[in-house]
Amino acid sequence: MSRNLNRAPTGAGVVYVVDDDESVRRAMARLIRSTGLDVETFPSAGAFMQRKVLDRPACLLLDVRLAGSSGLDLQSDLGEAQRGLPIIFITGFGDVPMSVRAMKGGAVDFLEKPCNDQELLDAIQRALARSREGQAETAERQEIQRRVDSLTPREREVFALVVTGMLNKQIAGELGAAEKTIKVHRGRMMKKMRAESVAALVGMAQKVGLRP
Amino acid sequence: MNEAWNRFAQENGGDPVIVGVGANYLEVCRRAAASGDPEAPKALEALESVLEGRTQRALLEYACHSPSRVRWFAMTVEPFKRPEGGLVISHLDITRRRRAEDELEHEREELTHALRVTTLGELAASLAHEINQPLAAIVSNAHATRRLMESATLDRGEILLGLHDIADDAKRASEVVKHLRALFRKEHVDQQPLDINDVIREITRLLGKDLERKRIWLRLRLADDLPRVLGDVVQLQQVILNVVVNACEAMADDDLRDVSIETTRLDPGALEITVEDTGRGVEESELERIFDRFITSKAGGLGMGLSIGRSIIQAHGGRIWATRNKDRGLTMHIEIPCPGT
Repeated sequence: MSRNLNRAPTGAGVVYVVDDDESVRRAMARLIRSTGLDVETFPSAGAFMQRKVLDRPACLLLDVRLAGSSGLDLQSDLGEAQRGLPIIFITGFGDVPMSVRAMKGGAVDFLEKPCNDQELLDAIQRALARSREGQAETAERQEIQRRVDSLTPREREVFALVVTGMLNKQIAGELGAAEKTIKVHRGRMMKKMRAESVAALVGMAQKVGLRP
Repeated sequence: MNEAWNRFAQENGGDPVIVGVGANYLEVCRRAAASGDPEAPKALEALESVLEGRTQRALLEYACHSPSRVRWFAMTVEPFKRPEGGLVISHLDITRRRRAEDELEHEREELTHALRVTTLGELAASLAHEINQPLAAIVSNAHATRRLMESATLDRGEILLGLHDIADDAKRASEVVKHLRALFRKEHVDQQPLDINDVIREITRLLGKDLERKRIWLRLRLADDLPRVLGDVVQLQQVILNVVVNACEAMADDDLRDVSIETTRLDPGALEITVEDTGRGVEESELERIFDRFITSKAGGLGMGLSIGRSIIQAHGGRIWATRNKDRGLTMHIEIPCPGT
């Protein structure tokens, strides 16, 4: 993992295709490969869940009418892990309530089978773009969290008060310490956090949910 | 006026002066009718007919829903046998009975719906999926091979594989259709002697309330000398139900809504069922096509009912066809042989 906050995960995207029908899987895989993207196919939602999702942009092409676990179950099972893995639902019978549920669950698209190739490829591109964003955010969040974890208890206290906008003198009063000591803690904390300004620090605090 | 009446009047916000002791019930009804109460004119007519001696007894069931409760009452009006005249009016709370009737009707509706959707409808949906899967694969493969041919690398092996898969999937789709035909061949028909009139009566019983609500007038002209048909009661019921439901739906937007079902004995050894509607009908050129198309003019319909229906009738050795009526609408004809009669 890169230490640079602003770099998104690199590499071409991969499309995971989950469909219970072998010919559909083969055909989808061929079509997606013909555009230069990587494809992996799975015969069931269960088989896909066993797969360790790689740290690269990816999206899931999912037939709603799956044997065993329904596509919507998989969507809710993925839950948090889904952030970096947008789902495109494919269905043979696009009924409205199911589409609505899928959309609320975070599906990026809902395509009817058989679908137009351009529509499908556009949907894949949108999903991969969203995946890149999602993964970049996750990576950034993890990096900030690592920096926060490297702070001493005292530095963490100072951190929590700096982001509320307090001056060193006020922080010293709050923590019952000399202003000079606080200044030292603050300097170390800003360095560990690699924050160039209070504004940058507040931004980081917000991203990991530490802002009061 | 008893305690129950007073309690009821108060719960309904009735002013004791207006609906209480000493009030003129005729006046109460007149006032209610004038204020637009849909039940009041009927009550008024019942009261007046007994008062004027046109009838000895009037009975009326009416809804009286308070904001908190749904209630039904039966009102009986009889002359008060005293020289000064007058009426004896009694109200009986029949809510429980009405509720039971409503539930029965609800069950019937569900059954009708279940019959429609779980057999022909469900079959059609699962067939649609079975056919759609290979079609989806064919479409994707066709797009993929086209892209591969347009690309600079021209991967011949992959293109050939794609074309091969297209042929295989097309074969698979046609297998599904073949399988569908086999499903309704003679060997799958349960041969039971049955009275087709009974089958039709059962269908009209199932559809009864539904038709009433849609203001469709259903006429039955059933021949009483019908020979028995050897066949599968569930399948035949499905076909006739499908035809009748189609007839009703064809008239949804029209003002004239008549459906008549007729049975006739044909010689030798056959019978004919006709279902005639006053709906929008179809063009002469479409009469045959309605039996083989998979698409439909109905929103959300799969349009496979009639094509499956024809397979069922053919499996019974019969035939089904449609004719245009002289004035308007369509008549569906089903002819079924009755061997040994």
